[in-house]
Amino acid sequence: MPTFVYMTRCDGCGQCVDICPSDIMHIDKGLRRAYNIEPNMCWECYSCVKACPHHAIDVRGYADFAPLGHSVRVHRDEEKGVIAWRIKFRNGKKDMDLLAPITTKPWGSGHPKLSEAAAPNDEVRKSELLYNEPKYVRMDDGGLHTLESNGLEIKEGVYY
Amino acid sequence: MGYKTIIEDDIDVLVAGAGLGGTGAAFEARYWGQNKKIVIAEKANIDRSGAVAQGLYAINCYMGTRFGENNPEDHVRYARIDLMGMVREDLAFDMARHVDSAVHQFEDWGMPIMRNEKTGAYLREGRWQIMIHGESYKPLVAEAAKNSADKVFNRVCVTHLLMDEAKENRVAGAVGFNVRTGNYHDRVLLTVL
Ligand code: SF4
Ligand code: SF4
Repeated sequence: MPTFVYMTRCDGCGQCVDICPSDIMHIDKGLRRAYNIEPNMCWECYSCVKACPHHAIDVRGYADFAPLGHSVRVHRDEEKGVIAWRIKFRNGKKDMDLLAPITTKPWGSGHPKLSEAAAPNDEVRKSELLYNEPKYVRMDDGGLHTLESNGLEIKEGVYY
Repeated sequence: MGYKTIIEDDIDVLVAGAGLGGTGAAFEARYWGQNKKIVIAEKANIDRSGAVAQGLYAINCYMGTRFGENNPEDHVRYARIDLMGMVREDLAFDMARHVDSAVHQFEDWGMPIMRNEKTGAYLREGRWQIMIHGESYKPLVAEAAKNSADKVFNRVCVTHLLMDEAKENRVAGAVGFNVRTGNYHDRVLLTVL
């Protein structure tokens, strides 16, 4: 079931519009609030829910497993590197706080700057290795497997 | 209604569609072509596009060769039986021997991968699957792509490839349109690495 927007919390910032993979979160020109223009095309991917700085978006779960009255709220924090979920059942039997890391490093700090790294030389270009291989292949002994090193050859046809 | 035509010239590497594969390709392309012009066109927003947009709590293909678990040829055998022989074994083997390296790279970038506390090996939920905290799987890889690409066109859907008149069977460019404005993008891909 699709997303919907709590009009009183939304300030029309457009973060949800920017991120929605289905491009169905739009801003109502008159009200200047976001709304889902095509509810039946919603993936329920929660991208917009996580992106909304005011937690103004909610998703109505499918009635068979999540009858009305339940609640699924989420807060994703890149600075702290965590995502927090609060899931409440309608009958009150369950009220779960779930916390999971989204990164082990300060956001974005783990990526190498390839434009500053050493360019591959001719020998590397002619090899079968990809970036940072063989180091990254095994990290322990550094070998990239080949058909020969595994004592294999490609045979024609279907066989088991 | 008048639509603008936007032309982006002199592109060396054009990534048409940037899900996990496209964003990863843009990163790798920067290594092999440091001074090349790399451009991404994606019909959604690369931060949350493709099959992993909403997060994925597993990596479904990891050999674990370094932990003595599987070798690439084991995966080829598995794929062959699973698909009743209908596989390109050379491609499956090539993919399998490089996939661990991609996973190790993701871990370096900050992907939380669950480990067995005693052995240090990644926790498995199947012979090929490992368990990760993957809510930000796509944003993490998209971050690498954004660092690497010269330009990212979000909301541009590539519809046709343009063939090179001078050289047979070679793609020289692509056209697409902006899914919001309808503007026709005509970008020319000049050289392929
Ligand atoms: S849940 Fe996903 S598909 Fe649905 S409106 Fe939000 S971002 Fe779009
Ligand atoms: S991200 Fe939230 S506050 Fe911003 S427009 Fe969307 S619903 Fe409104």
